[in-house]
Amino acid sequence: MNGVGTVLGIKARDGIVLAGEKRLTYDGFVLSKNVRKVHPITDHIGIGVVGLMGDAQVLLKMLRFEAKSYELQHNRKIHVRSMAKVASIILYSYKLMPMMTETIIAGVDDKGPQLFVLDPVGSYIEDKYVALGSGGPLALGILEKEYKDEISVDEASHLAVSAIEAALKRDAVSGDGIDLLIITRDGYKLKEYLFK
Amino acid sequence: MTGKITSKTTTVGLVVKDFVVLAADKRATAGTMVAHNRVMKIQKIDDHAAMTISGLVADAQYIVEQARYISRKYSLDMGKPISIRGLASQISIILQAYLRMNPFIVQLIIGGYDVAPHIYYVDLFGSLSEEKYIATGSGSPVAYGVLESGYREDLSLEEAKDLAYRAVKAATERDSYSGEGVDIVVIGKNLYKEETRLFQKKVVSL
Repeated sequence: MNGVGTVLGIKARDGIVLAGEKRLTYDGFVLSKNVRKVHPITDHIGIGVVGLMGDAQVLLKMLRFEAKSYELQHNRKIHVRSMAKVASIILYSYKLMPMMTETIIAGVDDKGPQLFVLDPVGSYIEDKYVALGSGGPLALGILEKEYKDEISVDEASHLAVSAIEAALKRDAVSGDGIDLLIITRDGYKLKEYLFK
Repeated sequence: MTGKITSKTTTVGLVVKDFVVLAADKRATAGTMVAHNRVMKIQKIDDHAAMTISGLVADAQYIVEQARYISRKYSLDMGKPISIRGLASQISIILQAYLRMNPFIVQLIIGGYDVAPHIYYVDLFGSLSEEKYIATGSGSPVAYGVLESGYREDLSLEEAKDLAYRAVKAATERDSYSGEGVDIVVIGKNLYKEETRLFQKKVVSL
């Protein structure tokens, strides 16, 4: 992989912001300028993935299935922590042939906004903000400086855009645009920016 | 992230009736990190010759110094400027001499005007070949797509500049290791002109 592209997640006081850039490369060649790396799993939980897009999309499908299955069996929405744990179990089950992904699972439930980070083999750690992939260290430089507890979703959206922008400019395999996934108590919203 | 700074690039050279046009992007990378975004990859060798560089930057810069020395020494000794073939040929001999021991990791286009415009392709193996149009670097497959469909020997200077620009621009769109802008150098009889076109990319809301 290893970490090609950039995604980040920010936990805000009233919700979650996930952001990712839009470039897909194979060995430097730009295969697509319009790939989504942040997705809603349900209307209250989202995922951000970098790495092998095939693995990422399979993981997304499995998680959507698990979330819906949980909802039908228990007649309530799955907790964010449980969703992250399910993802962790799936990733760990591929330990000997790991999915080439780095993942953020984040959302809002009755315990408020929460954000989890998972490595390729399923370790999961709760955090306030994180940036992954080849542009991750660049984005993290901005997040580290500007993040504060009690940040609002609006402020976090702006912060996410400027952090990804730093990665677009200085990471060769990130570029072309930004996708934002904003999750609040009222559901999710997708926003799109182009870099041209 | 760390390691030697190598420049994966796109460089283009073409010859039209009375001019040589060289063009290159402005991005330098170390791994996937953009190490510099205003690099000049077309180096002036003399008033009548220039060289585009790609490969290991340190090696390329050393070769540029050698080329300047060769060109200057020739004109002082002989009282006339060195021919482009002579210059390219001497560079290729240096590259070949070092090939088996510790090769210079470079791919070069040497272009200029002596009695007519010429460009030569030179690489670390000591290859030397005269071309009408050529592209080198990681973005070259994309650049060739544009050159192959647009090149004619009877192109005007403005058309040639535009073709070189479009070739490099297209490569920056599809090669991650090329970007930021395009430098263009035109060499003709008693003419050496540099020009830079930067991309003004911004984040725009959809």
